[in-house]
Amino acid sequence: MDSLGFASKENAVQEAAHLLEQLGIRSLSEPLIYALDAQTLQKEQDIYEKKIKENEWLTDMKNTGKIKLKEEWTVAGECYDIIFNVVMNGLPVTPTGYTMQQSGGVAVDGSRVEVIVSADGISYCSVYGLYEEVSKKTSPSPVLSLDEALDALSGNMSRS
Amino acid sequence: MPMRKSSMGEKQNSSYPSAEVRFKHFDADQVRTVSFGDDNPEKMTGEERTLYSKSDRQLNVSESDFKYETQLSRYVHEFVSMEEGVFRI
Repeated sequence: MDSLGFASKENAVQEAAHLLEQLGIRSLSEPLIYALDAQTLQKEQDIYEKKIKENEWLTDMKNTGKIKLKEEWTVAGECYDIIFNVVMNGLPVTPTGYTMQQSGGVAVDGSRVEVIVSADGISYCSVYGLYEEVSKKTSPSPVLSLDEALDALSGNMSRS
Repeated sequence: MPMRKSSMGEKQNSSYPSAEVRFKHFDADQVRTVSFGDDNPEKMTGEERTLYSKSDRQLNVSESDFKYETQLSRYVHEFVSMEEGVFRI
């Protein structure tokens, strides 16, 4: 489904972007937009509910209120889930976490922004791992060209 | 802007701008104002995080990240997730 009844996806993105702008968040990519209609939400919840029934641990979580499901999904619950990736200096910043082995195994989380817009407005906003510039180098170090990298690799391989 | 050509052997302009960065800092009060407007949520302060809540809405904010959620989003996130940049349903 492309658009939901309460707003077009363009308007939903505009609402999300306005919120992020108010928070000083601007360096973002074109977003991925998922239109979650009532029928899809109900269908997916039914699948999840079946999974809960088949799993003792999940059943226990539901019985103790740690998992809460909506009684019935209607158009009032329809929403857009909007995912922005982060961009710095025109380059995409990974949304995937990784470990820097050469820095003693320092864990680096991915950068991500997720906003849910429903008929009630902003229903969710999560912002994680955004960076800001402290200072800019006036004479940036050049990155190795492909040929230089291949030469260096070839040199290393022939020595070993 | 860097200019790269894929074929080997061609000269490439490979300078990228370079900057020292840190995690973007958020002001908890500002995020609260944007999230709750004129409403006055209950505030709980921990060592590193501040929690604001009013009816079904909650804002969990630290110096470098935040999460605002409502009951609707909690229902959605029971079976829809965004992990490692991948949308799963």
